[in-house]
Amino acid sequence: MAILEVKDLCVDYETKKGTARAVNHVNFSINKGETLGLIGESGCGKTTTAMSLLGFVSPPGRITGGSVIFKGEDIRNYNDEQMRKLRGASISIVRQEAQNALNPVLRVGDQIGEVLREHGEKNNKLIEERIDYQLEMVGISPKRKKSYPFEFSGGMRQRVMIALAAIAEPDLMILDEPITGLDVIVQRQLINLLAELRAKMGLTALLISHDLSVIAEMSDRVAVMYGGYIAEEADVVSLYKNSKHPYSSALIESYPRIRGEKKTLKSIPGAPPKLLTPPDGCMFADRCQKAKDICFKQVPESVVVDGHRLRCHLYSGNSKGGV
Amino acid sequence: MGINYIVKKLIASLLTLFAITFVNFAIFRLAPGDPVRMMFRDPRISIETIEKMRVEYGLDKPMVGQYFSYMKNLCKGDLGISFWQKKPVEEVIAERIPRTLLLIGTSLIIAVILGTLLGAIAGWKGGSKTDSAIMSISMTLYSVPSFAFGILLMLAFAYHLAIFPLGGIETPASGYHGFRKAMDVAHHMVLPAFSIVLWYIGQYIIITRSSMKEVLSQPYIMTARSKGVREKKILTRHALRNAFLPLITITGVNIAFMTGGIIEAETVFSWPGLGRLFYDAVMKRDYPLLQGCFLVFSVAVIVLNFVVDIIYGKVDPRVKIGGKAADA
Repeated sequence: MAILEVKDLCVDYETKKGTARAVNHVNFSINKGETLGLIGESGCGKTTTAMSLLGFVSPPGRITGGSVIFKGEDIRNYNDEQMRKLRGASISIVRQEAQNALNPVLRVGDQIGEVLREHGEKNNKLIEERIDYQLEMVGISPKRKKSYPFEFSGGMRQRVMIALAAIAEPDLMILDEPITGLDVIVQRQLINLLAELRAKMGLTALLISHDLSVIAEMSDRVAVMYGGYIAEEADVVSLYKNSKHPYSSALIESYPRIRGEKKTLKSIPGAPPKLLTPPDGCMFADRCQKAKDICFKQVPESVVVDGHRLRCHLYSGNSKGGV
Repeated sequence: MGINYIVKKLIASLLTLFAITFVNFAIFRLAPGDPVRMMFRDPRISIETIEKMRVEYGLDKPMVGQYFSYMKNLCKGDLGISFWQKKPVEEVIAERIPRTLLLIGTSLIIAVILGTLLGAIAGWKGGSKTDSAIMSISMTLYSVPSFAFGILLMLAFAYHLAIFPLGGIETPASGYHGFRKAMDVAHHMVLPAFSIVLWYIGQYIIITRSSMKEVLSQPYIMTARSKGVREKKILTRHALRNAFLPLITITGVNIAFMTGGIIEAETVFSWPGLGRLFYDAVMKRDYPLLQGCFLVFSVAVIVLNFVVDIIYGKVDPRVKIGGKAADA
């Protein structure tokens, strides 16, 4: 059963120079217990997509089309109070700025417990027990709940953020670059922790990263984003072994491998498309080595090839279907 | 915040106080002019009499000796005799202190509460019409010189409309007692207090607003929102407390500058407080009194800064024993 279904989502940013479409007809769904990895380079619309799930698109940005169906209801129709009740309780988020993501003048435990309090829990004893349990789960001694954020290391703060996001047992957790900016050892610990949570809680998650290895390790399915749209979406193994979209292939080629022969990494020539002046055809055409004439003229429709859903003219003839 | 922190701050305050007694002593000794000549401006006075006076006042002794006797008297609470009032300086000052505290306390409380409130609203509603209205008013208030408010208020409300008295602290020879007297004093205080409030409120609004805007852009506000915290609680629990931190520091620094405002407001409205006394002491070249006023103002600044430090330590958990602040 799909917990979340995003259909044709569009987010536009109004600027003085014109309108930039940051999220361009994005479609994906996440089933219960599944982790969808969302990967792409900076500015491709990953975080904007995540933010629109929480209703955090604010002017000059605006959701201009599509729907976000969460547990059967389109949350785009929710009012402010309904959105507030959704946040933290049903959809939670772990973001990357662990350094300042916690309020410096409030105790860590109180900040975790606040989630339950704000969603109507009044039993203080129960709240305290839940805080202890959550802290223990993320590997922090419950005694430390009286500490302030500045008394914690960066890795510990990010653990607190995970405890905070998980305390209300949300139906969906958005992990927006949850381990970026931490050293590799802490990254490893956090990946293990998240894997454990997945096993214990049956976590349903949207994992956003630009790190291929993190996505590979933690996701069931992967969506590759480029220039505001999803270029390719497939099962994780299939995508890495058998990528179809030239951009996905180029992205994987540009990433070092631990095993196998050493070879020079291939970079992708050119720069990401300018969203203010998008090309007429495929967003990736300028940088694509396999680009044909049609790629520069016509926006590719979504097609399904061997279980990969992709937008690429190279495959347009092969299959029908799509969106 | 531990007892250690308080003791450390206390010691620092005492050291500052000691340094101030030295400066306070030196300033008047280094000023040109002979105090004895100032006291008796009679050309017929003989050299012998002057010398006698010098010995009597201890002015023949070296500076260091003079400083020690000044400190000795200071410790006993003896600030000397006022040339002008012919009374002990400490008595003259003691009489004035409560009046100034009343005026400045009332105005400061109003200015801080109203200023932070308006500033917080402006910051919270950043970019709105409310924000620009509050900001234009506070910018105007902030840039007008402090004495101008006093004179304008006096002209409008005391002279033309005549709803408030022109000056003073109470109706002379009214014979009021108890509640009536309190009301009379309050009536006299409205204009001077209002002029000080107007002067201060602008900067409080501006500072609170920018502090608020800064806080609102911090990731932890976003965290609170994504936790589903109610907007009202985000403002009161998450934003305001953090926005107050720089405000506390600035209040501490500002206290020193407030003395100027007190002198101006009290002089304009003939409020018989310390500020007015200071002005009179300068006009009458009353050195012992001036020295006493200097000392009282300095002590007040030190004490208030000490209080501010303690409050800061209470509000911000990052201020720990030893006063070391860690990065968050």
